[in-house]
Amino acid sequence: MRELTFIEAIREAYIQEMKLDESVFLVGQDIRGSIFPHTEGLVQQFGEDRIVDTPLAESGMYGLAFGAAQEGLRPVVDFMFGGFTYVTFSEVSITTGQYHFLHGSQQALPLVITAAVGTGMRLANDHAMSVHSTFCHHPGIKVVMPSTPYDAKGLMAAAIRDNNPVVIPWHLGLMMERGHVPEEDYIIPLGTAEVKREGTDITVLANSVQLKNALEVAAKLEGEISVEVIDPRSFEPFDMDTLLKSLEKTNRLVIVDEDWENCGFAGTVSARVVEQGFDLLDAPIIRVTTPNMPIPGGYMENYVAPNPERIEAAIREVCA
Amino acid sequence: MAKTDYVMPKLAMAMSEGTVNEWLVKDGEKVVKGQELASVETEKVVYDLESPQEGYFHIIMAEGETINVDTIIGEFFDTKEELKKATGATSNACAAVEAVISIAQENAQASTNTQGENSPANSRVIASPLAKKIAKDNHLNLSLVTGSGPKGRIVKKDVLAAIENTITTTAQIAPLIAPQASKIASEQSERARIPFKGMRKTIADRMKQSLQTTAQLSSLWDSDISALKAVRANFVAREAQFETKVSMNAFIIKAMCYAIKQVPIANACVKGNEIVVYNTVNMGIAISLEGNSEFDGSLMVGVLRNAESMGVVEIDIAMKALVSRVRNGNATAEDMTGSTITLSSTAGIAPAGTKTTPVLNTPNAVLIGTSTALDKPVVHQGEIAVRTMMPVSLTFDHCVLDGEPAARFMKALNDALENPELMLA
Repeated sequence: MRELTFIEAIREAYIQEMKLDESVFLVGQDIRGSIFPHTEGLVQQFGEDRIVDTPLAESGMYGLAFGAAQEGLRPVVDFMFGGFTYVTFSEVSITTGQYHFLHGSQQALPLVITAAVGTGMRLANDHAMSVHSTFCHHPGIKVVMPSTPYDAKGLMAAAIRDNNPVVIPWHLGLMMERGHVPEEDYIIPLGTAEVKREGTDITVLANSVQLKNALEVAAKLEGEISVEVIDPRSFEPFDMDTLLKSLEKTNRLVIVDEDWENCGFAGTVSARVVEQGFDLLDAPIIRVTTPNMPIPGGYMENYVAPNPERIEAAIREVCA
Repeated sequence: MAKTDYVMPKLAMAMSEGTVNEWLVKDGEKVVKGQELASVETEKVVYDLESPQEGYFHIIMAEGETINVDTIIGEFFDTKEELKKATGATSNACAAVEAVISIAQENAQASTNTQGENSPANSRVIASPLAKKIAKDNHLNLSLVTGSGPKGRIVKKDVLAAIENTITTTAQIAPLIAPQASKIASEQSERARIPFKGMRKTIADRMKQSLQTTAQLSSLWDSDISALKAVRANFVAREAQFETKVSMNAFIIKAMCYAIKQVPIANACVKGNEIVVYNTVNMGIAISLEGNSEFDGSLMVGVLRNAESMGVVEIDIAMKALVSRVRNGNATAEDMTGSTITLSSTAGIAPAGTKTTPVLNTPNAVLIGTSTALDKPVVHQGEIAVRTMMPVSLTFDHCVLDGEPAARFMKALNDALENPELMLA
């Protein structure tokens, strides 16, 4: 089986989609120099018209992408770090999400917003925060996040082909993870969760690096507590059916999400489960998230983000 | 909303049908939540159904009819008018009288209801949503279930255990041990008060029904099982080969099958106005069950089907599996129904030589009671010898068979027990 790193899988999706469709192009800051290796060598292969560098001015960079999408191109705009999307937040959230609606459903806005996110590198706040919940809060934007190299290629390809604005952050902690990635092109439909490990006692919903942590805990608890682990892969639209089906079996739920707790994805899923699956629950739902405080730099980061110890403690509490 | 259907609830996992023995409310009566609606009988238990809601209750299912679970047996109406509209108006004169009665009843019931709300049973119960749903589906009163979850929360497994263990009667989960005698009580110090409910009530009713509806009597004798003991010893010596230590009961069942072949009328049941004599021997075996406390042990009759076609080893293995299923609560309907004759043994528990006269397990016409054997001097082949004598009793329904066939059956059974080679016949 062919193996690629997570970041190589994203790069392969870019190459594949740019070859398939001439309207696809990348725009970002120093992507020609490839700060992160997913754009490595692309300018040599596709030229400066399709690998576009901009000054350090997010509003201008995004404005370029937005305008291109209005005119029918399919830009992938790379913010480098998720926290910097906030610099041009009115445009990326409100204007982007509502564009199709405000134009009488006549005009699509096929663009992709991507950026690195996540703790683990001790880079502190703007460089370590998650952004997916914020985008989920705004109507009209699809939000997905891969957790494996296979999903990275499939979700990125699906995001580029989708006619709606799609936000696809990727976690720094997964950058060098290796895994099977087929050479041929494929997509993972947006809005499909995946059961990554089957179990019968409790369901753990976890994404990205936290999926890795949840799987590690599930393996550790094997023989004691049978943990089913589900990767949402897509936050918006979210695959509620897969989660409810799992809860019919396990009746217990822990949601792990590295985004901040307040008004976050974990809270939204928790509320939906109470609304749609109240009678399935045999115990309260527990969220394992980042507390509502700035993400500190250095080793203090370890005390903020979810980790295997906190996930295990939550599982034990729900199964008590 | 006007009308709510009321169905025969599923009171136990294995329950498929139930019989309304008696309606405890009148047709059209206003009922309150928690009021006892009907006495329902299932395969193994009699249970009083409690009303899940308030309303005017219309009876649909007649008393004595057996129907599948989830079949509608009654309806609740919010108002008297809706009830009348749905069930056909009565004459004006009657209606006027009914109205007066109904107002009086409503007043009376309103006060009962208020009291009910103040009772501890209605205080807030902490239970998981899932536990609440399962309890509701099974008509289980959660206030009587003990929670094992954090802070005493009732969770799924608590409700399932309550349903399985108690066949869902509220009373059985209620404290069996009454509070110590009150200060002003008499000199007698009470140890326990056990309500006649659930399993206890079923056993009591069935025993009384057996004694009141049959003409049963018992005959007692001792069988010399010295030879049988030796035969059994040969089987026990081959325990590894047979994968079971063949019990004396397996031989007794085999001997009963032999005797039934000689006197088929012993293997019969009363069904309505007929006596049904069977070819198949479905051996009812009385099985004692431990309770949660000293006072709630009980008795069930497990059924070993087609015993006539089995050898003793097969009988022994099947019987032990049956007993274990019954005791572990895993018995199927097949395990619990359709006996054609019964064996009840107190061997090993009662003192040696005890004569027993067990109550007939109706509708079976015959029950064999055995007990602990006793070595004692008897005349054997013209000389006094110490032989192993097993007390045996035959209880039979004289409605079904008379003394002559009963005596022949005893003789045949005694023959087989004393001459085990006859079991080969």
